[in-house]
Amino acid sequence: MTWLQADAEAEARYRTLDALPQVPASIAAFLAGLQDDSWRVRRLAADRLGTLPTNPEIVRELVTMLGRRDDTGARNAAAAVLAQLGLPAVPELVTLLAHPDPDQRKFAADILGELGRTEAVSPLVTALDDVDSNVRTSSAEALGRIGGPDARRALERLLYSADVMLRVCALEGLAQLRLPVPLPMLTPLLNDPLTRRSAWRLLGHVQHPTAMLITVRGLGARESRDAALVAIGASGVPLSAEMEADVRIVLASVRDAHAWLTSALASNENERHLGALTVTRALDEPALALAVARSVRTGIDGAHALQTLLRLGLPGAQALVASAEALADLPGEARAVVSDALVRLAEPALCSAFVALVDSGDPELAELGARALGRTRAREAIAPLVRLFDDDALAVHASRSLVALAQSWPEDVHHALQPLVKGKLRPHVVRAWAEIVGPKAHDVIKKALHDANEAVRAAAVEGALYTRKDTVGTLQAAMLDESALVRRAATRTIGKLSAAEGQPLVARALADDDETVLALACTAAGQLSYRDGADRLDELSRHSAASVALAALEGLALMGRLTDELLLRATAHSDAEVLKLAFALGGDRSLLISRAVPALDHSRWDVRVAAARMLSVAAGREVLSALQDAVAKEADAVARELLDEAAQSLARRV
Amino acid sequence: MSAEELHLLRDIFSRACGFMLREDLKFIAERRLAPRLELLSLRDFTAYARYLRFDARGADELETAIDLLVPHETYFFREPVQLRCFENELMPKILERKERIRSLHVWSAGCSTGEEPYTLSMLLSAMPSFDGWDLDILGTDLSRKALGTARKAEYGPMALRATTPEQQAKYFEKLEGGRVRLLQKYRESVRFGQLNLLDLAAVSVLPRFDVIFCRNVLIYFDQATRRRVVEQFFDRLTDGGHLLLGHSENLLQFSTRFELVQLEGDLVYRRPGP
Repeated sequence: MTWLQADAEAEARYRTLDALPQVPASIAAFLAGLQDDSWRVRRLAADRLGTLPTNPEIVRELVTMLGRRDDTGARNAAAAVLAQLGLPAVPELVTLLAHPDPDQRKFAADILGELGRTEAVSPLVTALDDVDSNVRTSSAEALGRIGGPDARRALERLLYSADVMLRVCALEGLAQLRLPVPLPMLTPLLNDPLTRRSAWRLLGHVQHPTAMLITVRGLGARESRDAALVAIGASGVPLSAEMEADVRIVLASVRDAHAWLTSALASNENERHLGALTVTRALDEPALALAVARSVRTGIDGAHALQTLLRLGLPGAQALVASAEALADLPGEARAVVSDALVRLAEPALCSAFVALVDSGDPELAELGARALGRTRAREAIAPLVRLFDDDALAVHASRSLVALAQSWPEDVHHALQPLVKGKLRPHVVRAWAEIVGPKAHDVIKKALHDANEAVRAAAVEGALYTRKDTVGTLQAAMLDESALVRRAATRTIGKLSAAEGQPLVARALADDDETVLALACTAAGQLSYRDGADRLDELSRHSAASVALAALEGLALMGRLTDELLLRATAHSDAEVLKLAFALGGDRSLLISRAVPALDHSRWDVRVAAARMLSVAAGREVLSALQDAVAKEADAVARELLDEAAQSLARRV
Repeated sequence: MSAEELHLLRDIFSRACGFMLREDLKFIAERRLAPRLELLSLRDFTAYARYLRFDARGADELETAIDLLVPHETYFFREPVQLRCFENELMPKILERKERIRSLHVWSAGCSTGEEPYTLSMLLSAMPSFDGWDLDILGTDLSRKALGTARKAEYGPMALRATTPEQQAKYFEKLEGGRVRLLQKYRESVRFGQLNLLDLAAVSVLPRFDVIFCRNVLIYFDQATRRRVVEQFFDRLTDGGHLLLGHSENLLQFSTRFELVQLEGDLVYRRPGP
């Protein structure tokens, strides 16, 4: 017997509702769906109602549904919708705060808290005196979510309440809002077992040396130790050198401090985790490095862990790399942070450990080892890196690392690479060789230019830049190569030459028939300020391939040859990326305003944002309302924030 | 990496393979991709997004970027409860249903470094009833790098975290540094291929499967992509074939043509049929 067989009707209702269009005419069906027996149907109905334009009638209907004591599913679904409706839901919910049924009043307070509208603060403050304790608690919690000066005053008053739940709610709300209170108000609550944890959390936000001193001392007492850690995490402020010294003194007398910190580092409670990282930094204890690394996981702020690992320095790095197996056992997020730390902390003393990572058999650790070896400045790193040219995935890292090491050990790197350039050539060897030995690489480059492998020829063309011997001739020949890969390498290199050398070459590149070469040629023309090529770039700005059109526009911008006509034409390109670039390059040119206003409705969020930014610089008061409308109807959260920035910027300017 | 840059990259990855780069992964994404910026001499992540879309090497780089961001961590004998259901409840049904044809086709979709298809091979090899059957286990993944590891079949301790010492002795040979290699006989019924689950044309040429495993893959997709992928799974299953998802995944959020079947220890999805 399957679930679907048992509930085929519910599935049919779900499908029917799912098929309805997102239009006001479907509202009645969605409202009915909130009362369905199946939670899937209710959830679908709630999701749909939350995204439709609302009106007072819908709100009244939903509020009525909250009163159905016999139908918990419908009540919860209605509450979920109301919490998404914003300001239009507030008046009805405020009215509901006076309902005779305390259950209804509690629902109203909870939803008002979720809505987060300051219009609800005053009625919620009144509800703090409700006869029902659940309503009072929910109102206090709601004020802690909404914030603002009136909510703050009300929450501070609650710290003196006879009701312990209200005191806790006030402490948690003020901590959530990061609104510290004067120390004398807080101190009595720090010792009360019922309010201790919340009070310490709020203490973390009190930016006063005495508060920090109390917090650090709190680490010494068993009953306040965890709460003090939370306070340190909540403060979000690094400890001063004096405070760090205090932490070391206080924890010196604590037995099993390491075990306690290791457990706190593994905590899922964000503030406790952050507090543990801060205290670990103060202790400067490398033995905790692996615990710090393991504490990094999805949803946890890795930046603090990275700072802690960097602070633990070389001894911490040594503890991390002591076992390649332990590193291999780290989850992906932790590996990313550890990799960054190890590359930054790389020193000669870590060389053998990095070689072990290269040999670990784990591709990610091998890459980390190859990158880190280049930062060690150790001669011992050279030989293991040279071996890596046999590995296609690691050769690029070996090449770059050897180039870095050649700054410290030029002769040694030279000797180590020499046998490789005598045999069958490989692209990364050729590139590294040219970069390291410069003019002495001429013969190898010459040989590589005739290699059957196009990747080797391309590497030789790029390497020709470093030999400074017949570079122009090499690039000229390369522009005739049958391989686009080689011509691309040549065109990229042309852009790095002097204007006198590069301009004749770029003319040839601009006539290439390969789009990828053309795009690079446009970039090179811009870099070399090749004004004679402006007409060709103008022509290429109309190219159907967006990569070419984009590079042509940018090239012309670099030359200072972007005309109004050209920009206007670019706004009509079929690829939205070109439109976006036209808005970005158009800057304060008012002629694009007529194109940017309709683009506020573009299907792509990044084009809408580019248009808004352009308008914020170039337009006047007349487009402010269009911009504000765009903010109001923007469904994408990130885009809404960016559009809002643009609207505010325009409002300030006009 | 700004929120805007994260958003730009999210759009690119989502279009390419359905992968959703979540906001809470921003810091990690930055750590993973910053070395790529350095390597490619790009000034910021906006330039990187442009590079991915428009540079001649953009497609290769996109593959590298996705490879760096999508977790590959998995291990042998993962989710043992579900594996027991596969062994004790689904396989007897298939034995009965396909007694005459004597062939079994299993697809491990998003197999990463190969631990899942190899686990299935080990389980099936331990079932004498399948002796003489044509066993075909296909492991597919988007990552060429992961598939390279899968084909080598060499693993470190992390992959063995749920493998008992007895299983290790039976199925693996020991290598240096605590690593192991899967014995050849358990590799023979497993083949691998690179596949983007959003590539309709590529998926449509796959054969029909009796069982599809797609565990801890859909969690990285957005809702619309999940729906598309699940519909493709339906089309690639034989009538009466089963789809097994990870324990944190389900299809309850949207309509599908699948039946939800409650087995003793797990919920699985079934294409209606005999």
